[in-house]
Amino acid sequence: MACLCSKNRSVLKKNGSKKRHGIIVVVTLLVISFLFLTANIKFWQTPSFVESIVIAVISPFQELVSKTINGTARVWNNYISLIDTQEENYQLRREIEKLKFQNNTLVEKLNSFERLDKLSDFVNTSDLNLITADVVGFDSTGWAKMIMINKGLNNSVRKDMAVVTYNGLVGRVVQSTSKYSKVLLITDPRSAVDAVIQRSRDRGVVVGNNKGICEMKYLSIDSDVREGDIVISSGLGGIYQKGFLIGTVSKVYEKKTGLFRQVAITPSADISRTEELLVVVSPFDKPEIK
Amino acid sequence: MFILTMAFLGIIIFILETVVIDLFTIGGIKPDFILIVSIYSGLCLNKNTAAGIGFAFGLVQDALSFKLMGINSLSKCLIGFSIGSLREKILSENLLVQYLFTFIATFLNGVIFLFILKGLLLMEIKMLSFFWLLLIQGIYNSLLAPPIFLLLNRIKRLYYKKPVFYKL
Repeated sequence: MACLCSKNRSVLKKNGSKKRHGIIVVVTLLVISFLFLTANIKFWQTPSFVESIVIAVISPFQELVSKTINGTARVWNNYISLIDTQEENYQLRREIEKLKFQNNTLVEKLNSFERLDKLSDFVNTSDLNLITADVVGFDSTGWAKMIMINKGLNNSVRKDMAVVTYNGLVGRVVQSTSKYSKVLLITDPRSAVDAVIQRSRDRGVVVGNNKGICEMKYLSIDSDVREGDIVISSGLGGIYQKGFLIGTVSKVYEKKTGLFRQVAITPSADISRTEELLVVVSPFDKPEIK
Repeated sequence: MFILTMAFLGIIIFILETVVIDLFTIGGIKPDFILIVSIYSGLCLNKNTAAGIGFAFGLVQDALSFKLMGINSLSKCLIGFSIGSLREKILSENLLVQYLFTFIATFLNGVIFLFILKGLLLMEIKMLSFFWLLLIQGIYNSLLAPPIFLLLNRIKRLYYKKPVFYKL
């Protein structure tokens, strides 16, 4: 009986120490998380070692999968459109059957060239140093509006460089590793772009609202802003050059009191569907334009 | 081998979350697969292991985001541990319980985010729209969780022959 009691006591002790160890482990993990959080707030400009390792491991997979999916989607879409044409021209179908597959590939190439042509037009007409980059991934949390691009420090892409498409402003580079960079989109609430309304020259700050659109803040209550007005970057702040197209005013909220008006802006760049971007490299770095 | 499979599964989930997430996005609401994995770990593994998995997966999720380092690792670790602790007291194999757990965990995850984003990062957040998004995400995650649990259970069954908790 005494032996049984001592056995029970040792089992209880073991269980107790196991529980204690478990709690210590969990508390340690929570403390580590909290330390990361506070360190991140203080030194957020450079990626931490965890970020660098994770990006180095995951991003090549992201790039591979995103390129495969985009390529397949393009070929598939072109194939479908060709089927429609074939239905209308059934008599000619047999004759062109052998050329069908070839045509598919050519249409895909043409689409790609058209996009690159627009990009190169933009490159040629602007005095800026621009390099093209592909989108390889999106934010994983859903609470931030961020994308990952396949150009990094090796390509002279650095923090605080503006990122655009031929349609308009996309965001800015916030972190760079050797091969990849994180771009904070203008639709993220933490993004702020000093802007002017092109027609009335009224000034304000464009911030994101996490829903795919932006808001213009600090716009004077007296401003003559109208729906459809074009909003461009003012050049103040040192990140975004003057004259980048941001978007168009989609809604003006009527307000009779207060100092400022509230305006909703639809970004002109289709941020969620963009595959290729241009990074505006600062005049101090002169990389090759690809 | 089980750890290798979990690591491989992790890479697939992260690619799913960062590359093809648009396929799962409904009205701007994205499901949180990492949260679902953390809940699963809490429901069918040891609570400390669940906390560890939640921490590790959350940390990778943070690293793939911007300026959120530590938020997901903290919330997912806490959720994995809490559900792991509660599992012994409730009937975790019940489908309704799983829906409820996923919904509550999504809500808890959102509240942790809210505290950190507002309190530490001083972000301006509209409470009403935030909770509305959280409600929809909670429902979405709850609907996605059981099939994902089933899939994870199948994987687990390859390594552990003994019967597992989930039965349809």
